Formats: sequence, structure tokens, C-alpha cells
Amino acid sequence: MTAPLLELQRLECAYGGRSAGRAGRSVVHDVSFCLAAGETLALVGESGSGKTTIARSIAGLLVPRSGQILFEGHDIGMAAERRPRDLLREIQFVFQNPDSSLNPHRRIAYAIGRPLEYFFGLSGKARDRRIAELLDDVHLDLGYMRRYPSQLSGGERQRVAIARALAAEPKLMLCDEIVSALDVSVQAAILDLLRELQEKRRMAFLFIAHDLAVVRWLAHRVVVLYRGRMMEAGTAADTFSPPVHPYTEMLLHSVPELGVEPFVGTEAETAVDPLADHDAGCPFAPLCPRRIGSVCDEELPAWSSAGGAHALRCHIPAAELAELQSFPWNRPEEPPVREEVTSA
Amino acid sequence: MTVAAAPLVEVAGLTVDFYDRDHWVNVVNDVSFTLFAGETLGLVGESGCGKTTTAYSLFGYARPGSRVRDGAVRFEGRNLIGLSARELRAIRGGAVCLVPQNPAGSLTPSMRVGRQIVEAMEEHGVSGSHRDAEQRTVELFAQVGLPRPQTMVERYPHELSGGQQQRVITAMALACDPKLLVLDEPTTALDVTTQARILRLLARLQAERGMSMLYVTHNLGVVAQICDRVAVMYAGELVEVAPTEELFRRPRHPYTQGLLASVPRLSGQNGGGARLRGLLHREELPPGCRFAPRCGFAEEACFTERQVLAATGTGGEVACRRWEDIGEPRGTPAETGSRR
Amino acid sequence: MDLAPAGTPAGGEIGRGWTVSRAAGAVRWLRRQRLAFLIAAGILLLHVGVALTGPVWAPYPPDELLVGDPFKSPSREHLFGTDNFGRDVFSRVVYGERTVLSLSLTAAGLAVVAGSALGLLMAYVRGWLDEVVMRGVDVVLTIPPLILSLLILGGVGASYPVIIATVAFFFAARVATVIRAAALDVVSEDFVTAARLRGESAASIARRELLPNVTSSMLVEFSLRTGYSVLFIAGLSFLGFGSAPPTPDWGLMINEGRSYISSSPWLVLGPSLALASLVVALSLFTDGISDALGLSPFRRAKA
Repeated sequence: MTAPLLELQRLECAYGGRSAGRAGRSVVHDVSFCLAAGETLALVGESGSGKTTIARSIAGLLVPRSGQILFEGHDIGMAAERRPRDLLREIQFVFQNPDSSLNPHRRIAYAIGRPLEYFFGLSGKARDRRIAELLDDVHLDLGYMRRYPSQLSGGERQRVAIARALAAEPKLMLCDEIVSALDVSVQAAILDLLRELQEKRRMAFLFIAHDLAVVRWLAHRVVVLYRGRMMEAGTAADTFSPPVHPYTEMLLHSVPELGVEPFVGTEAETAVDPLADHDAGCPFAPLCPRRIGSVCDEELPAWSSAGGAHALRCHIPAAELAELQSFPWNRPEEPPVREEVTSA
Repeated sequence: MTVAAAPLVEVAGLTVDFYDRDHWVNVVNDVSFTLFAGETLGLVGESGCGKTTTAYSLFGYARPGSRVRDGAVRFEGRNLIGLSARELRAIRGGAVCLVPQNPAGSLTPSMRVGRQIVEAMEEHGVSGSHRDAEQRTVELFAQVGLPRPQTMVERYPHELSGGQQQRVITAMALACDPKLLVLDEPTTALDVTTQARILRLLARLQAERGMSMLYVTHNLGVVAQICDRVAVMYAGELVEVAPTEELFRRPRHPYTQGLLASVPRLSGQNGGGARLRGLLHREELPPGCRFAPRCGFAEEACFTERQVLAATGTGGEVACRRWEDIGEPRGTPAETGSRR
Repeated sequence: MDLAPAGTPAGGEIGRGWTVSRAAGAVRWLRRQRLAFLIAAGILLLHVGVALTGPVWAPYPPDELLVGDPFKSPSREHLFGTDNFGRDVFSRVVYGERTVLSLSLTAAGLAVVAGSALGLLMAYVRGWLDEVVMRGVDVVLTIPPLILSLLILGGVGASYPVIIATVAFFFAARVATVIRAAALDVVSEDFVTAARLRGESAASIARRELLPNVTSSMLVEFSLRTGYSVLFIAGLSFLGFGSAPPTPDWGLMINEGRSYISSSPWLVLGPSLALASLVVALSLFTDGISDALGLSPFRRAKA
């Protein structure tokens, strides 16, 4: 079996270093997963989960405190400034906010053309031709080349941002909540586009999202994060039907849909300090509706398998969770939306 | 939920323009709907559809640079358009309260949160003495689910999480026992689990107090959970109004159908049928149906004839001359059998 | 948000096209500007016109002595009268326009170019280098420019290149702080991060990504610094550290005419009016373009 495209091994990240006087707090603990070419892995979590931090460290915007990030087998855990140009080209980042991802004083042709110039030395007609091709790939017509970002809608700007990332011909695209700021119909179109691109180019996506319905549509595999730790990992089909981690369960039930009752456990906000370190015990214990006792507060649960490549971290055995949980949106006869990608 | 006979709010033919650099742009066009006591009406649409402007008119607020060209907004029978600032002040924060989108932006950073609520109450002469107001604040904080209310009132806004701030803002809105709560996307900036809690809270508060809510959002899922009726807006116009279940199970207007089809579902199923095509081009709106350029069912007449809301016979209204021909979109529950 | 200004159409039109031709748009833009701005622009155009074409139509050569009786008061022949040497004051003022404008514009231009480059780089680089350099800039800003300039010019000699360099040096410091502030607004935006993730160098990012976002600030700074330069350089000449006699330099002329101010005020009035009108026009013009470009009048950066 060939090496995965991207592999994280026990990644730990922190903000603030020696200059903060003491070691900065870790925001990502012990995260490990891999991603194969042509696959979409979704990193799911809410604020404080560490998902954006993970993406930023893969991109080189942040240096990990410990652990390894391997790209095609090579350790890339260094700042972007120290990375070779080819590596920078092969990992591309698409940002969340369509308003700030494009230079307002530069035309679209520049936004897409700059990576072409920089990575491939294209200029003049050759570059313009390639820009036209890329615009076509994201379903924008030629006229957009001469426009400024302020003349484009949010969805159009995200398409341009995607085209800019594609221009570098990457192997891996890091998509940080790229549809969260978009209207529903626009979001749907962008998601279609991403699927299409993946099928055509066999590109790998690391898709960061908090919207589980979107993840269901797009991802092959899912990693669920809470307060910087992995709580669950498995295929998309696995993580949307029982058994799932209690946090995943809460997330799923929190997605508002007709006929779905929210299963939030306690309605009140807790007094939990979101920044407090949790050295011992399960980080989700204070809010967990299925908390079974003091073991949850004292001992970090070990990984337990829930069948195949599906694993979760809970003191409650997976078989028991499977009995306790039920999801009204699942009809057992429906096949999962996306088949798992088999590595080449 | 019991519904009073006379509507609490009646919006009739509201038309609002906004002055953009050198010409007037229409943002709300001839919008009419009613809101009864004790019910929650969802106002949905995508960016720029005019839902916020419409919602804000419910307490007589017009953004600087805008004008109400036509129409009336009647609160308990009284037209808010044209009232003096003083008269409006009596209504705002008293009978009609706003829960805005960004909680951090609505809280004074240098004042303790409890004090901000007390001030709001004193401003409206709701609570008797200062002591009473403070006591009520603690009670309100408990009602909105904030932990340890006695200590919470002493905190500053930046010491609170996003969810807690939103609850404080909600408490502030409830402080004067309003009849109508206007909520402008109050959970957009929050995590999904926090959002779920806030929605639960709102449902409970409404049941307890019997107040009406106008919930403005672009998130159809939220609407599905918390609203009794839904009004869908497109390009400044109301295209469909219906009871929630009715709207979701049998959307009539092509825009509503497209919108629902575009929402990704937890089941992984897409709405099938037609997704929305194209984009809204404000500069090229036809005089007839504004959705016509993007509509798969549009005919010649659609571009020229103004569409008006007509009853569908199942409790809703739709502004589409072809609604009876259109029928069910493919893949909706009515076609594929009962869902969930 | 401004309320609709006077003259707004009473009714609205829905559903028709909003697009207007560009020319009509430009005319409307012009009409929206403040009157003061338009007048200031007119006056500036006048000054520039005089600088460019003056020598062609000036009634008398500036250095020619005794074209009329000395100390003649303003008349049709001598619009600003004659000075102690019988030279025509008006012609001297007209010729002096070139000196004033070319010196100030060059100094201001240099200040903006150097200051912007520094400001942009520091805004991107941040960290200890930014701290050190900006503290250096702060030091320069605290020095009274006039006194240090006098020392420099006294020591090195008051040639035009030295004057320009000295003035530019002081103003570049101010420009650097302003442009750095403007650039800081955009440095944290995602498109800059995108450039950083390409591995682009600091200089490349400053030039390609940051620069286009500060050009309006630079324009306003240029206009502002020109105004200050005019006054500063005139001041230097007044103190004798500028042009040497018999150059028709306004500051110099004011100094030379000082002694006669009670008896023949027009020797001073002529150049003074010219100087004042230029400076005031530049000031109002700066306000106007800063308004038109959407910049706040205080920070000269995006409001």
C-alpha cells in the first residue's frame, strides 16, 4: 500500500511561546490521521476545537510544538518561509471569508494569474489562456478577468479563490469553512463544484466545517474534534449512524431540521471556562449528556473500535452506544452518499 | 398555541427604498403580512432580499439613507410609520424588542452586564426601584439559562462566551416584557450546539410568555425548528407565506422549491429536483415577477405581470401565477413518501 | 451613512435599468463635490499654469532693473508694483512660481516614495525590526525640522538638492507612519496570507499586494506634503537658507521687502498672496481628494 498523501502523527500545537513567559497553552493535542490522494477528509468541530489550527499548521502558518506532519512521506512541520517552492505549490489553502481572500485593488486576472507567474513562470498570452481555462473550470465566464472583487458576489469570489488555488495544480487543498459565509443556494453550487473538481483531478481535500449536513454531502471520511482532541474518526457513513461519540451525537442533533428534536442534554450554558486546560479526563465530560460517572472526569478514554476503520474515544462501549442512540434521518436502506476511496 | 383574533402586527404594502450614491434602489417592494399574538413567524431569504429592512420596520426603524415610499406597519392597530421619535421610543424596547445579530456589538464593553439590563429597565420605567430592577435582572438571567446569575450580573461582556452574551442580550430584550420580539439572525455567529440551546430557550420563553416572535434568518433549518409560519422573500418581495410544515413538505413557489433543494441534509439526500440557477442581478429586475429570470417555469407573462400573493387553500399564500401548474418538485417528501 | 442630499429625485423607479452613462456619472460626481474643493482645484490649476507658461507671457524679465521707477505702487503697467531695484514684482512672482512648485513637488514626491516604501515594509515585516525602525522614525519626528535644517543647510550649503533632500527626509518620516498604518489595515487580510503561503518575499508582497491598497493614502499624503513643503521651503528662503539673491524666490522676496513694509507694502504683499493662495488651495484640495477617495480626514487612511 502506498504512503498516504498526508499523514499527521500525534500533532500538538500551541499559540504563544517563550515570549509569553511560560509555555503557551496547547490548542491541539495528539491528533493523528491520514488522507489519501483523491479523498476528502472533513475536520469537524466547533470553535475551540482546533480544526483551523491543524489546517494552518499543515499549511505552514504555524509550527507544531510536537508531533509530525508528513506530506508524501516527508516531514513538513516547518514554517512556510522555510519550505521549498514545490511544496508550497502542492498544498493550497482556501479561506473562509470571501471578503478578505482577494485583494480589493487587484483585478481577478491578477488573483489567478499571480500563482501562474510565480510557480510556472507563465506570462502574457500563455498566462491569460490558462486563466481563462481556470475560470471555465469554476464556471465563471471570461468577462470576470477584468473585474475587481467588489464587483463580484460572495459566491463568485469563492470560486475565484478556488481557481487561484487550482492554478498552482496542487495535490492537497485545505478548505477552511469555505462555504460557511455563503447563502444556501450559492453554497450548494460551490459544493457541487468541489465534487466535480475532485472527480476530474483526483485532488485531496481537507475540508474544515462545522456544518454536518455539508460534511455528509462532501466527505469520504470524518474526524470529529473537541477542544483540540480527536473524539472520533471514521467514514462518513460511519459517523452519521450509530454508534457515534456522544459529542458527535450532540452535533448531529443540533443541526436544525424539520422533525429533528435537538438532543442537547442540558439547555443551560454551563459555567465551564472554555480556555481551561483539561489534563485529566475526557474534555467533553462537563457537557456530556451521557456522562457515566467520575471515570469520565478522571480518565481520558482510550480509542475503541466501532467496526472497520471507525474508532471513537468514550468510556461507554461502542455496542452500548449503538443501542442507546437513534437518528431519525437515517433510513437503513439508503446507501451512503460517497464510497470510501480505495488507495491506489 | 392559541392565536388571537386580531393581528398584533399588520404590515400592508410596505415599500422601502435606499439611496445608493446617486439614485434610489428599491429594497422592499409591496410587502404585506400579519403576525398574531403568541406566534413565531420566520422571515427567510438570502442576502439582500430585504428581510432585515422589513423586520426593522416592525419597530419603526428605517436605516439612514432609506425612505418608506409606501405602506403601513400597524402595531396593535397603530401605524408606526410617521410616528414621532418620542412616540417610537415608548414602543421600542418596551412593547417591541430587538435581539440583534451580533451580541458583542450590542453590549457596552465597559459596563457590567447586569447594570446594562437595569438601565434598560429604568429607561422604560418598567421596574420600580433600583433594587427591584436588580432583583428582576437576576431573575431574568436565571430564566435565560445563565449559570450562577448573582455572579453573572457582575461580569463584563468580554468575560462571557458568545452563547452567554447572546443570552444576556435576550434577557435585555425580555426585560420590558415585550409583546413582540424581533430576532435578527441571533444565532448566526454561534456554534451549532450553542445555537440549539438558544433555540430551545426561545421556544420555552415564548411558550411561557405568550409573546410573538419575528425570526429573521437565512437558515432554513432553524426556521423548521422554531417557527409556526414562514414568509419567504426574494429581491425585496414576499413570494410565499405558509405554515412551516406545509412550506417544507409542499413548497409552492419555484424559488422556495429551489431553496429547499439546495439545503444539504443529514441523511445525505439532496432535495433532488431543480436547484437554483443563476444569480440575482438587481440592475435587471423585470417589472413582473422578480424571480422570472432564474425560474424554470417562467413564461412571457411572468416577466410583465406583477405577481400577488394568492391563497393556496392549504393555509398558505404564494405569489406565482403558475403555482397550480407547477405541482410538486421531484424528490420532496410528498412525492417520496413520509419523511423522518 | 449620509442622508440624501438636496436635489434628490422625489419618486423612485423600480424595475427599469439603473445603468447610467459614464459621462453623466462624472458630471454628477463633480456636482457632488464641495464647492471649496472645486475652487481649490481651480486655483491650483492656475498656479500650475503660471509655473508652466509664466515666462512666456510675464510682462518683464524678473531680473531686469529699473523697468520702472523703484517703489512704484501697483498700476496697470506693474500689477504688483515695483521693488527697491525697480524690478516688476508681478513678473518676479510669476517666475518664482516655478521654483516654488518644482522644489516642493520634488521634495514631497521623494518623501512619499521613500516613506511609503519604508512604511509598507515595516507593516508587513512587523516584529523587532519594525519596532526598531519605527522608534527611529519617532526620533526623527520629534526633532524640530526647521532648526535641524538650518544646521544642515548652514553646514553643507543651501543648494537646491540639499534643500530637497533635507525636507524630504523629515517628511518621509511622517509619511512612513501614515502609510504603515494604512498598510496594517490590510496586512492581516487573507489575500496577504495567500501570498505569504506562496513563499513570496516581503518586498514582493509589499509591492504587489500592499501597495495598491495604499495608493489613495499616498496620493493624499503627496498633496498634503506638498503644501507643507511650500511653506517650509519658503520659510527657509525667508531665513536666508534657500535661494540666493537675485533669484525670484517668494520667501526671499518677502524677506527683502520686509524693511519697506510700512512704506511700500506691495513688495511683500505680492509674494505673500501668491504663497497664501497656493498653500490654502493645496490644503483644501487635500481635504477634497481625501474625501473623494473615502479616507478619513484625520488619519488619511481608510475611514
